[in-house]
Parts: sequence; C-alpha cells; structure tokens
Amino acid sequence: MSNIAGKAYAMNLITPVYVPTVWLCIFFLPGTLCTFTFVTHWLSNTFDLLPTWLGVLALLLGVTFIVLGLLCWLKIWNKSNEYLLWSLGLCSFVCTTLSSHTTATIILVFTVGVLLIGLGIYFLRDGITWVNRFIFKLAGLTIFQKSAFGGLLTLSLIHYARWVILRDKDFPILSSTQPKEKLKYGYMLFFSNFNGSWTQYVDSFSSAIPGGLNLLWYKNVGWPDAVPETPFNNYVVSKQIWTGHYYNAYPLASSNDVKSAQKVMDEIRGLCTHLDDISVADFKKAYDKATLNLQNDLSRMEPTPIVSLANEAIEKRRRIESNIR
Amino acid sequence: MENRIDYHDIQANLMVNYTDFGYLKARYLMIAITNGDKGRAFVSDMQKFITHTPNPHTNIAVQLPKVTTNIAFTYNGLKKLGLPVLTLQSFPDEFIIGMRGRRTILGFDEESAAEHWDEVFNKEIHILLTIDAKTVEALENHYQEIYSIIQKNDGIHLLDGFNNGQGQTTSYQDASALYENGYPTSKEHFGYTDGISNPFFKGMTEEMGNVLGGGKKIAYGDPRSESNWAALETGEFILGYKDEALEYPVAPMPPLLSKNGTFMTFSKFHENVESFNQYLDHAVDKYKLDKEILAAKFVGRWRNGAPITTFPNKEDADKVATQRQQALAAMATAQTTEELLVAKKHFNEINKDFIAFDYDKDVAGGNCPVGAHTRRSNPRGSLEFGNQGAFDTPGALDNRRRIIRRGLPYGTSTPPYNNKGNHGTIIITLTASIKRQFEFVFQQWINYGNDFKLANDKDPLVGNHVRNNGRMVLQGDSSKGEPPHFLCDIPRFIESRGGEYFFLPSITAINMIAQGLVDPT
Amino acid sequence: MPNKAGNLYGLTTLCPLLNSSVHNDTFSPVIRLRELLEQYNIVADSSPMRLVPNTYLARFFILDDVIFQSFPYQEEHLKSKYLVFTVNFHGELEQYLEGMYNAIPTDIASIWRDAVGFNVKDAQSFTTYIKKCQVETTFLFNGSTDMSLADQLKSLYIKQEFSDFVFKNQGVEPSVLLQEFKKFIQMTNPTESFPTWKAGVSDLNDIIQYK
Repeated sequence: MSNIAGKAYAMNLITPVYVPTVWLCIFFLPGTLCTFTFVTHWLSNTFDLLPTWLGVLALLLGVTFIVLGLLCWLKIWNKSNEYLLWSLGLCSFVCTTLSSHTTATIILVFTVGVLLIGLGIYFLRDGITWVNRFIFKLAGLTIFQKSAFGGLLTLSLIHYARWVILRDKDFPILSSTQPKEKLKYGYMLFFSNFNGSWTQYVDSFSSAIPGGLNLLWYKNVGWPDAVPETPFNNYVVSKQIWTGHYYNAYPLASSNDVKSAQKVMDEIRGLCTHLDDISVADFKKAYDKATLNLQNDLSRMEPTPIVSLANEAIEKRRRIESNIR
Repeated sequence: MENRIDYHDIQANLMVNYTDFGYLKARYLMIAITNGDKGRAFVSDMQKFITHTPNPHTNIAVQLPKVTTNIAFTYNGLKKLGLPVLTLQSFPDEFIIGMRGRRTILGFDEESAAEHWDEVFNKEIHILLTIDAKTVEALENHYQEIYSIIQKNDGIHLLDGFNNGQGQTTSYQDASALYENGYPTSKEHFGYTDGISNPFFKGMTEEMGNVLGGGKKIAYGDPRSESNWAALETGEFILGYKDEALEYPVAPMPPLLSKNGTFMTFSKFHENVESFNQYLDHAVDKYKLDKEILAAKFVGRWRNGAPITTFPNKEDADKVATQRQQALAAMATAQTTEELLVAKKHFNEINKDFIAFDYDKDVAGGNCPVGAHTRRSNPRGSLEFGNQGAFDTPGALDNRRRIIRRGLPYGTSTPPYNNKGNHGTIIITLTASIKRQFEFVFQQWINYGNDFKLANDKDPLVGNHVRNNGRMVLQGDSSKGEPPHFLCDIPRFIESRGGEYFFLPSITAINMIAQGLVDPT
Repeated sequence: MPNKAGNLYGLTTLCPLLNSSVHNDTFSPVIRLRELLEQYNIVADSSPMRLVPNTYLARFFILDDVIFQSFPYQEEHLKSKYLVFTVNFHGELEQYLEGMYNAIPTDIASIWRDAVGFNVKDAQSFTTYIKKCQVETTFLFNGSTDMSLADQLKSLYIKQEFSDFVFKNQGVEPSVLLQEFKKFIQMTNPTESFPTWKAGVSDLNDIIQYK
C-alpha cells in the first residue's frame, strides 16, 4: 500500500454516477400511456375529443413531473434527473392542449413525445453517464479548455489525471465462465498524480477550483459540492482506494520541475551552439539573457520533505530494510 | 454587517496585539500538574487574572489592565485536568501529538533537533501562562503574585529548564522589545522591523488591525484601495464561527468548550546573528551587492520595514520609514484625544505604504524575490501567478494559511555579534487549525518551494538549511535587462529551541475546565 | 481518441482476477497479489516499472468491490475482483506493451498469475490480453510536457546540473565563465542521450546514468 512515490501522490476515486432506477420506469408508464392515448385517438379519428379525465390526468402528471424535477434540481430528491422529468412534464402539459389542434400539430407532438420517451429508454439503458461524457467532451474542446482546466493548470500540482466512466457492460470479460457485471449505477473512476498529499492540498483544490470539480463530478451519487470543505473531503476520502504499488519515473521532480526542465533544456541547447567561435562578450550577453529567461527555473531538486509522520516512519523502515539486503 | 462576536468571552491576546498597546515586556510560565483536582483548583485561582477582550466600541487601551494574563493548555494538560475521553478524542491529531512529536513536519532537524532544545520543551508541559506588561516592575509584581499561588499548591509546579544564556536554567522565559538608545523598537535581533502585518478578520475593529493588506485580496487593482480587500472569515482564527471554507471549523466537543477559543503554538527561535552578518558581508564581497539591498531581498522588506516590492530604492524606503517613525512618535507624544486622533489618522495614511501592497506588478520577482521570507509566509494572492481569474478568488491558495502572530524578542545581541548565547524571538501563533495554517506554512512554504515553482529552495532567513546548503534566486528585471543573482552557501540563521502546541480556551471554557464540568454527551 | 492526449497515452485496464471461492482454491489471489505489490514497496526504487521504457507514472491496485454510498442510495456489488493497472506513457500502445513484456516478462507473469484468461507466452499475447482488459479513458488531462520520458529525464538532469553551475559561477569573470561553460557542455552533453537521470531513482547520489 503506497499512495506516495517521491513528490507524487496517487489518488484513485471510484464514485457512482446516477442511473435512473426502477422508480423512473414507473414514471415512464404514464408518459407511455399518454402517447398511447393519442395513437388510439388518431387511429379512430377522434383526436379532437380528448376525454376530460385524460386531460386532467395529463395535467396532474405534468405538475408532478415538474415538481419532482425541481426537487431533483434542488438536490432534495436524488433518484432521478431533473431534465428528464421536466421533459416528461412538458410533454404531459402539451397533451392537455391537444383538443383544438390540427392533425399536423398532433403528429408533431406525437413524434416529439415518442422521441423523448425513446431518449428516456436510452438513458435507462446507459444511465445518464452520457451527460458526464458529454461534459468531458465539451471541456476537452479547445475553446472550453481554458475555462475548464485553466485553474488546474495554474494550480500546477498535477502531472497527469484521467477520468474513466464505466457502465456494467464495460467491465472486461476474459472468459466464458466469468460472471457478467450487473450494476444499477454507472461508475466514474478518477486517477490523479499530484504533488503533495491529499490532506495537505484538499483546501487548495476546494477553494481554488470548486466550479470545475462540481462540473466534472456532476451528478455523481452523494457528491456534496466542493465547498464547504469538510463534507467534500469526507466524500473524497470515503471513495478513495489506496494504491497497492505506485511507480514514478522522477520521484525528485514535481510537475513544475518537469515543465521548467524543458525550458532549461531548450535554452541550453540554444546557448551551446557556436560555442567554439563566440566572443567572450557575446557569450556573457547570451548567458545573462538565458539566465534571466530561466531565473525561475533553476532551483535545485531534492527529495520531498516529509509528507506525514506515518509516511516518514515507512520511509525510515524502507531505508533500513534496503541496507539489510 | 451585524457583529455577533462575544468579545468578553475571548481571551484578549487573540483579538488584541498587546505590543501595539505598549505591552513590551512578557514572561512565559510552563506548568506541570501532578494532581488533577489541585490542577483544577489552580485554574480556578487563575480565572480572576485572565484578560478578556475589551469592548471594542470604546477605547481599548484604557480598558486593558496594566498587566495581562492569559492561559492555554496542552493535550496532556487537558487530560490531567480530567476532561472526558470523548472530548479529548475530538481534538485534532497534531494538537494531541504536540510540537515535539510533530517536529520533523516543521523541519526541526539538525541544529533545531530536540536535543538542542531548552530542556523544558522536552518535558511534559500542561499549562502555559503568558504575562504581558508595560513595565518590568509591573511584570515582576504580577509574577510574584502568581508565583505565590503556585507555591501554595502542591498539585502543580513550575517547570524549570529555560536556558538563560549564562549556562543556567530558569523556570520562566522572559521576552522584551529591543531598545535602541533607550527607546523601544519593533525590531528583532537581525535588525528587521517585525510584526507589521497581522491578519484582519471579521469582528476586528480599526483599533485591532487593518483590512488593507491584513484582509484577503478579493480583486486585482490598486492594493491601496479598500475595495480590493475584505476581512477574512472569523473562523480561520476563532473556533465556532464561519471560516473561509464556508463552514464551522473542525473543533473539539462540546461546542461550548471550543467556541471563542483557538489553537496556539509557542516556539522559541534562536537567531544566529553572527552567521547572518557574516553571510551578508560575504555576499557583498562575492556578489558585489549592496548589503542593505541584500538584507531587504532576503525578507521582502527593508530592515526599516518598508516593502521592497513597492520601494525598490533604498532612499525612497528610508524616506517613507522616517515618515512612519515620525508619525508613530507624534502618536506617542499626543497630548489630547483630538491630537491623538489627528496623529493616528496621519499614521494610518503613511502606514498604508507598509501594509497595503501585493505582488501583482512584481509577478516575476524583480523587486521582491519570489522566495523572500514575507512573500512566502504571506503571498497576498500571488499564487495565482498573475493568471487573473484562474481561481475562484486571487487568494484561494493563501486565505486558509493565514496566521495571527504574537510574541517578542528575548535576550540581547550586541556587537561583536555571536551565534552562541541566548537571543532570538518567541513566536506565538493563533490559528483555528495548527496543521492547515502553522504547520503547512513551515512544511510547504518555509522549508520547501514547490508552491512558488522554486523546487526545494527554502526560506532564506527561516529555512532549515543543512550544512550551509541554502540557496536563493534574486530575480532580475527583464524590462531593464538586469540579470538575476544566484546566492548559495546560505547557512541556517534560525534554530528551534523548542516549543509546544496549546489550546487557548474561551472564558466560558476556562470555567468549565476549572469546575470539571466538560460534558460532550 | 480520449486514451490519448498528444503523445501521452493513458492506459486504463481492469484485469479480472480468479475467484477463489468459485475455483475452489485454498488461497486468495487477492491476498497474494497484495503481498506481491507490497514487495515492490519495501525496497526503495525497486519497482519493475522502472525498466519499462517510456513509463512516466504507473500504479497497481485491487478493485475488490464498488463503494456503497449509504442510504438512500442502493447497495450493489461487483461479481469479480479486478486488478487495476494504469499507466501514463509516451507513444503508441502496441509498442509500449511490447516493450513492457520484453523488459519484465517474469514480473508480468507473477503479477498477472491469477488473472482470468491470462495465457501469455510472448509480447504478442500480452498485448492481446491487455487490450482485452483495457477500458476507454473518458478524459485524459496532461498537466506536464509532451516529451518522451528520455527527453524529460535528460532535461531534468540538465536542469539540475545547470542549476549547480549557475549558483557556483555567479559573478565570475566572463572569460572564466565561458571556459567553465564549455566544460559544462562537454560534461553534460545536452544534445546527446547520456549522461542523464535514471528512471525511478529517488537517491540524488545514485541518479546519474553515464551511458
């Protein structure tokens, strides 16, 4: 067990992502019922005579869906997705106004209704992990990158990070005897390599880039918001899996160091051309210019200071063990 | 905004910087308890002496007693005093472990290791009493009064083992402002004007501090404009109030025990004045640098206190420092309240130059080096590195690392300067979290440099350099084509002589502890 | 493809492990594997991954179940336990896995010994196996450079050495400076592969590799 390799800290989080549950199927039934009613009315050419009781039912359903959607949005009720519910609610409202419309409108409404329900079924199958995938897609676009990851880049603590969204069918099957996973939730795996430890830098993440964190963990089950910090920290720690073995190619370098090293390398390569025929004065000029360009890149790298008392104790034992072998 | 702070329940040293009000003499007593009940009786005896925060809406100075007394407890002390296990468990781990156990986190190694500490800090300390006074006589009289109470109680005793510099130990630590030609200064032994900036939080009044530079930076723009600063949340410094993470700080149970209290660290730092002066002289020779500029670059302030980021020239710095000195003198010599008001207003205007600044125009460090002591320990929003808008607020990375600093120099150091002897600074810090604020600053900002993109570079003045391996970059100015200077072989100037972590309870909590009525159920 | 960001490849694999209760064995593959991974932690800098070309950072851990987010959320469980193996490396997947197999075939065999369907005899079959276990990365964030590991290590070496050079030569005569700099270039060979920093070494006294 070792989350620490030199200056890097390995963070593994596994968080459930909301997938509509069996409850949602129950909400789909009325929607389907409404659509079914239009179909039968259309078939029997009596679509302008929507029975009053169906109109009232549609109205009630509409209100229910909108209220439930609101509860979802306010995070009071966590079992569904507000957008889905609002769509259904809207659909039901439209039903109540059908009686005086033309055939063409009704066909249009019908198509929209079917599409919405079809999309709903698609959510049901795939969860709403598609929303999260979509967020990452948008965030990855060049135009959004600065707003989505600018804070993270300025924070400059991370070497590499990744998010992996999995549904049950994505779990690898390697043999016919291996049981297939069956999961109601989707799961988002997050792997990060950052400098310092979580305990030391949780405040920095929470107070510098809360908006970004909330966006990337959108609708993860139980996600508490990145501020205030205590519930956020508790959530993260409870979803963290400790790494068994962590390898870092440059335990002495932080992400800042790796980036500044590239700068130094480029400068030095420039500085060492024409060394044989350069005059002392020209060289001094070029050297001063190079060191000025590199003035914030030339601090010496040494082992990381103690991360925690527990980790210090392990490091001590490790050094003793190494000497014994 | 409505002010909900119960000032009278808060020990005065938390809200008021005694030295600002002329309390330039201090004595610190460490006490061990051998009998819990008698320990509680002692706390009870002390209650009448404890100085609480005055009503801030009338003149603070006249309300403060001639001698102030404050009390704080270690984890072991609270245990000895019989606090229930459930309460003891609810204290943060670093407080439970104490400074001695956490010394490697603070970088107290080599010359700062525990074997070099004053003996008292290797003993089990239970109670800290701090006495602050305006005169030696007042201090001595008050000490005798407390001493006789201690003498009469056979369940407690004063801990001996403070080095006094003459090869002997005493049972208290004295501290005092340093005097020049008979006049008190706010300097420490290296000659720097100290303690100019302290955090300003909600609930403080003008008399207690300044939002300019003392608050948190909330916007880019003129740092001398109050609209770019805001008071920090109270909960960063006092338990039981909203903090910068928009919640109550994690605090021991029950809430009445923690509310209006806070955590305190006490450290004795020895100053190697000889090494410091030698290094400056050596650097003058080797690097052809002006000695005073170098001293200013180390700290980020000239020795007279003017910030080098806004006053890169010595002449300007001297001029403004003289004006500030005169304004201070005018305040001291004011005869009437009216005169004092005028003098104070004038001082506040001039003092802006000393406190109301940031590093937005100095991101690369051409004026104030990125690794300078004051820029490290209080980055003033500079960790956004000029990428305006990258974080939720410019101070996102430093608002939760702010520290209230108290304390005074101890000992004397006169030419010919010597590393040996007993002189340095007693540093007392007050924070809602020792780990997040005090320890983080030492661990990540003083003895490491990654947050400043300076790899393993340490604070040049306070860093725990090993075998003269300290380094510092004095950034050049690319607009003027001035190349940077690279200083190396910096020795360790400051060594720990020990210290401890304390809990500074409210007046209510002191009473609960004294009566043995702490109940977390 | 989100598995890649520039030349950075983010390989994520979930390798199902044999289930001891199903296979009726007397040992738990999970316990054995955890112990094996701990072995790599005992001795500093002994990770086999240091031998695998172009590995920036890699990790192994066992995902033995999903985590239950308390009521009112639903409790559910995984049917298998998985070895999660993830790497950030430079370059293409096939090439990397081939390099990995060629570098540490014995370690691979012992790490994956109890993995379902692990029937690896050569680099080819290892690549096929890992690809079967691979899950697609949704988003890969590169907070570092896009250089190869060799270039990163060389530049870290140059940075460290040049840092020493600059501090040591502060304020020397320009003519001496030029001379010293020439020596520095000769010693550090900025345009050649060596000397450079060894991968995965945390000891400053043992970090430079001369050839």
